[in-house]
Amino acid sequence: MRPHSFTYNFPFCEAFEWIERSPAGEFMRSSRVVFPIVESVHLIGMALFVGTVLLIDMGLLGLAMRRQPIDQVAAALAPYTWSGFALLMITGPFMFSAQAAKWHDNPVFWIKMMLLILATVLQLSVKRRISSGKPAKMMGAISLILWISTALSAKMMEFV
Amino acid sequence: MLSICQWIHDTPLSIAVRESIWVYPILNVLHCVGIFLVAGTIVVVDLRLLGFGMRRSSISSVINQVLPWTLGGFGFMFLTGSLLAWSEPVRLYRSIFFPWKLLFLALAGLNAFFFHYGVYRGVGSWDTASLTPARARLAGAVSIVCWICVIAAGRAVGYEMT
Repeated sequence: MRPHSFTYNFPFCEAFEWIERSPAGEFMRSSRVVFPIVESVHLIGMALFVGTVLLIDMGLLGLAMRRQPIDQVAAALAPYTWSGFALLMITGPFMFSAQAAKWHDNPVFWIKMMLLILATVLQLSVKRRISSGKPAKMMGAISLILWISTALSAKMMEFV
Repeated sequence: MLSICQWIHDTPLSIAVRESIWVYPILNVLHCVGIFLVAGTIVVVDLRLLGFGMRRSSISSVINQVLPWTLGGFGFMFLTGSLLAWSEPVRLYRSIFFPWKLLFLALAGLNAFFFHYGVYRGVGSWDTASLTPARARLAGAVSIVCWICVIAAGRAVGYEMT
């Protein structure tokens, strides 16, 4: 992996470099196939997570799953949603460690992290208590936009 | 085959998608979201067939509610995927992983077809059973493996830069 020089100074610089030099980072760079394999697991987690979250958001919007209350659907889907989330949270930091210093200077990376935190906080708090009426529609729309923007910025990071 | 790919490569649409700054990445992202919707909903059904989770809902109710989104997502995935493939046919022609991706996609499709018109026809007798018939469990397992392979091979295609 080519060495990376920071374009500006920031308190995270050293921490990010340390992460990149850590055993996790070294492991991720140890062979050409490690990163794609970990990334594939990340994407499978994303299929589970995003797939079920999209369904529930569509349900909150009143577009899907109309035959049963959406909070029941969400509860039934929760094990899948959170297994997917666990896969994401395990593989994500590993992928990050492979090129931590590079992501530091990528503005889209920071946008992604903020969107991710916002969307996760929302997912764990307000969204669990709302299941019907106008607030549910609002919630569904906001959640849908946040999660799609997160996935979008994650993909865009590569192209910046 | 290569000459067909070459011809596609030279069409204005192919050039436009390939050389644009925004269209290719956006299509790529949308294609991913389509796959998440398709694979996510399918894996939920597969896991239900295998007996993991949603035991309180009958199998047919899970499938009926999820199916429109699976099919809609599939249409979306197929459309964006075709455009992406149209933009770089020669690279995909030379790709090692792209044929594998198509193969596993076809296998997943065949598996779903045989499940739907096979053992699923008699779902009435095992709709709420805690242990589904062996053929249904097999279909669920094959489907999960196929979709994991589709996603992994698809991601691998992105790394095979010529």
